[in-house]
Amino acid sequence: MRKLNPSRFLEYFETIGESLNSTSEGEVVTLSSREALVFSAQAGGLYVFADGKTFAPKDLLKFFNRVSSFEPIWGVCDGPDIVNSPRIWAQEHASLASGQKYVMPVELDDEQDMVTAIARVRENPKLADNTIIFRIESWKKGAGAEPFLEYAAGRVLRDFSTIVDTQVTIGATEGTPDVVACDLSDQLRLVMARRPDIQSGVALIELAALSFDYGRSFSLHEDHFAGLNQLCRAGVIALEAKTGNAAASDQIQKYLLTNLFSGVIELRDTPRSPDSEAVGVLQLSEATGGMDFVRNQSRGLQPRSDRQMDFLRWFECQAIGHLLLNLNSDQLTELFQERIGRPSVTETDAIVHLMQSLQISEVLDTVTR
Amino acid sequence: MTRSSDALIKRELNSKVGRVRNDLTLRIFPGTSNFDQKLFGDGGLTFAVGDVSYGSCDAAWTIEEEWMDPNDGKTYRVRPLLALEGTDALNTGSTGNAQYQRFHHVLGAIRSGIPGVYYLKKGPKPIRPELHGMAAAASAGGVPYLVTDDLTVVKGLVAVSDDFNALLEFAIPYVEASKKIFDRYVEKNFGSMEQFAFDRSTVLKPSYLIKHAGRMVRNFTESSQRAGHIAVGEMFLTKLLFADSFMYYLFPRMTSTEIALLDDRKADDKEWRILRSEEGVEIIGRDQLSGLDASIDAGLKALESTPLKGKSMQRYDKLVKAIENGLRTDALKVATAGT
Repeated sequence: MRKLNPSRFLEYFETIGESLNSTSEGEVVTLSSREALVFSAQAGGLYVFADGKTFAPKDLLKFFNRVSSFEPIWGVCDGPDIVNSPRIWAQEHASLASGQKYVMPVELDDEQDMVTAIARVRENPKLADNTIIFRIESWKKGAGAEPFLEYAAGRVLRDFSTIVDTQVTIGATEGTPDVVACDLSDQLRLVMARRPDIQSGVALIELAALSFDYGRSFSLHEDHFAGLNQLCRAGVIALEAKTGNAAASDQIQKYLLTNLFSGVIELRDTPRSPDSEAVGVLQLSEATGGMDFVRNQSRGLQPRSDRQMDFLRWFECQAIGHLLLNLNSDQLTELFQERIGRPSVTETDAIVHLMQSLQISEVLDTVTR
Repeated sequence: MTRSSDALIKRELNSKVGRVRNDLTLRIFPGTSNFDQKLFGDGGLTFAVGDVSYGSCDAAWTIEEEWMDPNDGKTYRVRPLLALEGTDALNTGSTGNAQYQRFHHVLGAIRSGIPGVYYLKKGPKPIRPELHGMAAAASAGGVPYLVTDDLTVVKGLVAVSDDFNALLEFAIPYVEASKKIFDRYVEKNFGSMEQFAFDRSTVLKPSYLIKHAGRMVRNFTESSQRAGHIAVGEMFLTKLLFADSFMYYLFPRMTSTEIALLDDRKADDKEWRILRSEEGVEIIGRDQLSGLDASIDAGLKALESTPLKGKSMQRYDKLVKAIENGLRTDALKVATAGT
């Protein structure tokens, strides 16, 4: 089975209906600004700007460090202030939010290869400010494939109308699934009714980037995903990414023991029997180039409804928080005053309170104003 | 640490510390990269002594100057000035030994003559005093090892890192402060290092000590990284804080045969190699205790693969208490001790 390399990377995007383009630095995938942001935040892409800066949004938009916690951590907020959001990032580099973006897979054996690739992008006026480098390390067992699988799984799950996030910590001993997908159908329908740009599921970060140019291909082939739709409707599913022959048993076992998930899926780049009969397998297919749901879990899981409801409420808060990030400081303050009835002390205070106090419909009223 | 915790620490280092001076470079890789596992001379963030790698650091500050790696005698174009390992343990509820399971990552740098920092991002949990003690003890060889939750300390260190004497002048007060924190903690909570040892499953003898831990073979053969790291963390804690004693690291749930098996199967495992190659430390199994009662032996054998919780934890505690009492009274002895 081929390891992830630039060719397989490009093949995946072509299979799912995204455009490829030829450039002086090789073939690239062309994505909308919003989809490029999702890709970079989930798979780990590096924006290269003409002004000499680079930017990597991966894992930056974290409000809290684990499920059911409302204690803000460094990520979106830094102490009293909101420091990370697509709106803030686009203020520094407007090109983030508009125009097509080129995602360039670069195979590296050494960090110097990355330095060279960045310099070459910067030298090209067409590429600088519009290019995201995706690093694929070839040294040792390689790196880059697992986050790429997380993004690819997220694409499928979004097409099945879930809200998706990556690296969601349940607890110190319960683990951190690589991908979590939630069926917040009612809330999603509200969003979709108000937003013509959102016609199926979303990645959480998309909700924070509503001003970004949007567009992505839909490439659901029902026969490749038999059973996955029902699983997505069942509540909350967790996915664990592994490459090659690496075992997922320890993490999978932890997720099964949480009694939180309606489904647990191994995410693979190589055919391998799952470590547990209780889990499904979503795999990057050698034959098709895209993702296949090769095996459903053998039995339904019985999550505890109270646990799942708590989780869904917390996750909905995250969705609200991401929507609020579309607002500037004045708008946030005004909303806080209006809804909470007193001035907020800090931006962090405002957003955390609003996340816990509001419904998605109320936020959408303000965001779409 | 989850990948996102890793990314946040690195992002913090990039945005709040950076390279500090224009003539310095911050060597740091994205959380998803494996390049940190390369040796420093090959462009990575791993330091080795002999053929033992000490784990990868999260960052290093460097300068373009010739540097001879004392480990391989080769000269490289880039000199490491300061190595750093970061953790979000204080924000993820880690109050126990999880805080020091990565302490050894920087030790490779220290032992290569490069100053180091273990940075714990500030959080609701405090830095364990034992970590301060370990860092102060590790600094005894003349190369400072700091433990801090304050990035301005890191910045201050980096600013003077190309001048070793200036760095020492900056670092020594912090090392001394760490020693005071640990000494006060021992004084207040235990009264003496002997009582501290007693509380930490450690039996002190005139020239050696026996530290025991409930490790089982599976902890080292299965994919969980945590048990191996914890074993190494606990080893260095004991070794550094009782530096004058030879350390027997007793795994009562294992035998010498199983230890030899791990030597064979885990020859390339970083944590196992550190445990087996550390000077002044020997891992022993229960069969290497002379005078061990057959019933205790049988009881431990029955628990050799059992996760220690609930009733099995109670049974284990009882058996190991008996071993500890035996070692204290010399009813039990390490068979090779003193030879």
